[in-house]
Amino acid sequence: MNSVSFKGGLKLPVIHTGADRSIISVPPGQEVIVPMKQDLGPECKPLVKKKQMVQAGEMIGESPLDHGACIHAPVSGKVTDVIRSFVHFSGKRMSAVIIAKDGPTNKSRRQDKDSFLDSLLYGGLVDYDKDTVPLAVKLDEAKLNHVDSLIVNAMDVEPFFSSRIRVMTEKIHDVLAGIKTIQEYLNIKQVYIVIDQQYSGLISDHQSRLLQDVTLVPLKYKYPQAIDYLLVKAILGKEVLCTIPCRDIMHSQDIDGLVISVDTLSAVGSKLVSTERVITVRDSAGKIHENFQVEIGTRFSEILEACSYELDPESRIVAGGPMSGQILADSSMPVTKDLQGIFILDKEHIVQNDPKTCIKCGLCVDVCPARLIPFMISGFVEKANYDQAQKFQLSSCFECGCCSYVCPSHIPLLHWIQFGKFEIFKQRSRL
Amino acid sequence: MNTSRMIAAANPHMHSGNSISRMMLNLIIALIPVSMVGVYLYQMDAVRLIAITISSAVIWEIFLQKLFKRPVAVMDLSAVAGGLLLALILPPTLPWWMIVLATFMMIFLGKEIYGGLGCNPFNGVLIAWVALKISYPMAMENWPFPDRDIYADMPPFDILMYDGLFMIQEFYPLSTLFVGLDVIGPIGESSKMALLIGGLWLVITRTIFWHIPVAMLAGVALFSGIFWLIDPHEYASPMFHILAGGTILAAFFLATDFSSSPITKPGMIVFGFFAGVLTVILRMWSQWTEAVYFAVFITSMLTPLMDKIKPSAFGKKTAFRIPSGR
Repeated sequence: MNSVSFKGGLKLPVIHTGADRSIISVPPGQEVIVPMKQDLGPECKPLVKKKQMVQAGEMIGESPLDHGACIHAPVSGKVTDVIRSFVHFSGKRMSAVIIAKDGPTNKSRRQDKDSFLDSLLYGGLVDYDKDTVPLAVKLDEAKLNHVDSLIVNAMDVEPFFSSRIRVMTEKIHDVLAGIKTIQEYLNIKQVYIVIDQQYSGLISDHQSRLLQDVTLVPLKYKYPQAIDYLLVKAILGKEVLCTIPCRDIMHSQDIDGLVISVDTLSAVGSKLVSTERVITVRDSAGKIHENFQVEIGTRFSEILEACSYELDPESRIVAGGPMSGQILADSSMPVTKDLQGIFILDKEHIVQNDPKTCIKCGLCVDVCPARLIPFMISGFVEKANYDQAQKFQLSSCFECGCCSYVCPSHIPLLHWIQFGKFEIFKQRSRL
Repeated sequence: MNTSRMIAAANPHMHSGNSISRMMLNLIIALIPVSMVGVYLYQMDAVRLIAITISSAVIWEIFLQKLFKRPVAVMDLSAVAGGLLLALILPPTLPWWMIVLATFMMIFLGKEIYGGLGCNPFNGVLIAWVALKISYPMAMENWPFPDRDIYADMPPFDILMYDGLFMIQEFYPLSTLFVGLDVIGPIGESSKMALLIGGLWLVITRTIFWHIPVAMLAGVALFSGIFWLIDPHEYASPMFHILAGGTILAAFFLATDFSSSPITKPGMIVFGFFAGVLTVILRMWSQWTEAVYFAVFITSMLTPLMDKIKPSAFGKKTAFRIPSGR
């Protein structure tokens, strides 16, 4: 198996990632906020009213369409409020349910529905990936495409994150049960597990005996290696055309191999309703690098308090990783299913964007894993010339952000590309 | 904990720390070895030339950017790097006003008139050189002699043109050309060893890509090699073509100018190869002896065409996109 599968990408400096830190469980605070839209599917309708008592694991949000994942109460307690204008970290406005904790948070099992996909939807399972789609939608598509190989992604997409390798090592039985469930459902012939080469020592001998039926593939770490397209290229040798029309909008992925992350599989295998998430919390200076198991709805500030981290008022909180996360105004944002981790940018690491003119050095072309010419696309988008931007294959961009990372002129190339995709999506949907 | 600030920022939230000034600083660092050889050979003449080019380039840049009401961007060091590079291809004893005129050409015609750094279709250094070469040909061929025992009285390619191949073997064996202390010509054509060290630094620090220099040297070697194989007594060897004149300087420092060279790898290879072949053509059949600078200058006109050669996006079937007419 070749370890380098694509040209370009970034060799980021190796920083202590906390891959040897075991997962710590953080109990939720006195009050949890559960937003009603935690994936790319439609927004759920709150099923509870103010002052109603809910049990942990009770469904509190139901999708209006039949292909949306439901949302469950992470804790038992009383609904103190149902707000309409909660702003999620992606910037979208949605309703949210606030529950005051009262009593223990025992887990409840998923109910068996007549079809496997329905039980996943009612269990609230989503694909815990960069594009968070309901897992049932993803499996349904895979079934239609007659996918026969499953790629289990135990590499974190974001650099310096380590939650997936921890899930892989600590919850291997759940992961294997999840693999088995999906294997039976889709008639998968071959299962591959990709892990980061530098963490391959973390898999113990006992565990590797458990993994006999699957192929363990250590891949060399290079920044966007864990993107689905590049994993399919690395393992199956196929290049699949990337057609992400716009970020934050659900899209079909015609990927020949099915790529599912380990945390999703462990959630499938645990047979519990999806109310918790394993996230990495770290900061840019490397003072904190921990993996936490947290309930949905726990505020970031409570997680930071739990690890007794002093938040410098000058530093900023990023929901998601350093490459594709969103900067937040404060730490009161709750954990949702589409959160990969929390990254804290220290004062000295905050990127000062002061764009100069492009000097056409070619570095962005060199690092682009999708073999695009980012500076041309961003230039055309800047001039609102979307037709030309599309001729330069704007829609094939993986949105990994390598181009912005290397740009000597500090041009926000990824921002322009995402903006262009959004504008084109708007134009198309108006027609 | 609640701190409301305007903090919208586009992702990614990390940056490599690369900047234009850092790339230009790398270029300046890469030119230091050969500049030191120049100062050793021509003493105060070289110091004078470098001092005048850099200072006048900086002054012209400040003046022109103020005139065009642009933000003054001297701190990106592009004027300093361009001035130093220009000093390496001018005769050390050029009159001061010609040097000032050359830096004016470099900054005005080579950069500011097109809208600043990054928008220029030509390398400013080469524009200045071509303008001076055409306007003052005598002054541009007035080479001083270093204070050493040198048999030759002209740069290698003048000897090749006027005296023939036999005298080349007498005056300029390959080792002399490589070490470069006994070569007549501009500073940048003296020590190939120092130039290669600088070029290696540029490639290691990823300021330039290796594709253009390697393709250009390969183009020179292949095209001159064909004629050398046909008749070694009539045509100079490929090694001579690479080591003599400004081939290495042009390949590593002039052809790799950011905005006047292609951005895709296949384009870079075509660009370099074409420049190399054109260098040999001009050296053999034109009246110019410093053909390499003209070759790079002419090839940079084809850059927009070579930019059209681009690899197809991830997942597209064809390996290369054929440039269409539109």
